[in-house]
Amino acid sequence: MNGERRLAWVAFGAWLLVCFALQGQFARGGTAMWFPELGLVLLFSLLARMEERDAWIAGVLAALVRSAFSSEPPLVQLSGLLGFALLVMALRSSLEISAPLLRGVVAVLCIFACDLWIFLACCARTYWAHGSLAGFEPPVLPLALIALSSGVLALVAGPLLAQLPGLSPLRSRRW
Amino acid sequence: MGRSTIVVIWLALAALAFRPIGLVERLADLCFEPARQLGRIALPLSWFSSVHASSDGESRARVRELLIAEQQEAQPADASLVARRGLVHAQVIDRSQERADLVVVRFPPEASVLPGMPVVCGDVYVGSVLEVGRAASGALARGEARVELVTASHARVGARAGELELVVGGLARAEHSGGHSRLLAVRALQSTPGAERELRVHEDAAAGGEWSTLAEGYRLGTLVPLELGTRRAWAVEPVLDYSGGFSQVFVLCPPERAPAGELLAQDPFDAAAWIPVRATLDGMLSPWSETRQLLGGSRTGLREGAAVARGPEFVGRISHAGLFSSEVECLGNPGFRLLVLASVEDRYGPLHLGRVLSLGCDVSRSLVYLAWEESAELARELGQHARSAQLYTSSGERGIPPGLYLGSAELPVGEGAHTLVLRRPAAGRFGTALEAWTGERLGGEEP
Repeated sequence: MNGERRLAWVAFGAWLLVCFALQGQFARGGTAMWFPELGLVLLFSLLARMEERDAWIAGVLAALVRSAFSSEPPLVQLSGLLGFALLVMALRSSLEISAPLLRGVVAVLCIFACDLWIFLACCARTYWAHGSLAGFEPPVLPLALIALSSGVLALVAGPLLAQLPGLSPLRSRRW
Repeated sequence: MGRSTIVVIWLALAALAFRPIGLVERLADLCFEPARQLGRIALPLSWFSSVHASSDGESRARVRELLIAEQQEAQPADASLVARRGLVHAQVIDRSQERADLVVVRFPPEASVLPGMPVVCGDVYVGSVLEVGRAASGALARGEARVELVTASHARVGARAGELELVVGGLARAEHSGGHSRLLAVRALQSTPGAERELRVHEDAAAGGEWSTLAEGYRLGTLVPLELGTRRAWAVEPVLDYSGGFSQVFVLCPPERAPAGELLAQDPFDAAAWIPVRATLDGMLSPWSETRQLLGGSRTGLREGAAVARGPEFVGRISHAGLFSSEVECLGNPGFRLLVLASVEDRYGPLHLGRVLSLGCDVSRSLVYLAWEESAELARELGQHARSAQLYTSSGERGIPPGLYLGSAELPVGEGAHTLVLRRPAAGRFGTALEAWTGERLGGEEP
């Protein structure tokens, strides 16, 4: 890996940090129910234009940065974000996600799947720890709203997010 | 790495995400620990957080009054029950969810408490001391004792109702199979109860042990008939909700063994018992949960189970303490369990609601839904009208001091399962400057 690409990964980490921090700060109260997953949209935007061999690095990096603001266990976040990267790569190989509408739809699907995965894994852990899932209800509506708003963001600002300063060495495809 | 290799790694991670293995978890925590420090970069964002201002002084004074009232209500009111006895004040500090018949209490270390001594709350018999802590290490520290409640299956205490003598101990069989009984079981009943149904402790030193007679005259409850299919048996309707209806008790001992002086001091707002901590953000990334990430861990004195508060308000409990960072599970997090006290108007002391289970928040996060099982004893106390109440934390969980404010709620009428709607003053916006409780020894094992 040359110095330019190394710097690009650092820049990507910094942008992810900004996105997750802004999301955590502003997604409070009622806003939390629809505020888009800024970090995941940025990850999605870059994954859409990244070399496949780099996708897992992006997933792991996103999991590490997300853990600074989220209290889900590390392995839950790691599996969720690596799974997200794999899912985007799998869909990218069969669908043309450079088309705006398809990009939005795929973002909705992938982000919903990732958030639901994290919820289910946390539920499973609670069950193993306490032997009951009392109090847990699947938050399908909030997760769907968040996925929708994230999809809209990916549709409108996806190409812009992928063009953020410092990320060009990681981009290999055009929208 | 090829796609197939990554898929295999992901499958392994997926299995570990759903079914954690201790060693792997600890390794993953260690690897993620440096990344968690990145949260410090977001600290300037807290300047944009608007935090609800609470009237600290007034509410702290109210809590102190409430806790003193609670202690006073736990003292026997009947003078004959105090005569020729020493009373050692003790506070329940650990109440196991799995073994509800055992509680850990803390008492003044200079008191000479011994196994077998009776434990009472007000005029009501609670149980007896099973084990006393001797050293600073181990499950029980010096000044701590394990108490076996009268509801334990092998607990036995002599009792009398008028001329009728019998033995009480353990829980009676439920009227319906699969149901949970709360009635005390009657043993060794020689004849049918007469008109006098109120049961009081009547102990014989030869049968109950050296200290058992100290509990003579304390109330146990009322004898009630119990229909078991076609058979009629007898049981005791208790006066006290043993599953969570008390947190201040007295250990009975000979007068010369009780320390002179005041009740056990308890001030949840003692500044020395709290350390300031910083949360990375005043929010979270998952909408269904309510958690906080703290920029401090075991190296700064934080321990799992410790309460986190903002002034007099309860924020949550540390669910995981790493070396340099910790996670806090807040009241609005689904599945969160907490022992709760209620202060209702026109009542001097607080009511013990027992353990509540959080069902999560509403969209605005100002309302928290709590599943609550109202006991028959409390339903009797509340009467026929719903009462509005201020809710506070209760003692009975290591690391959580009593008296931290939760919010206000309406207590519904009637025994059974209810959902309390708790209105929080801060709507879950606590800011990033918080405090963690370090005021007592933590990390003891389940009683």
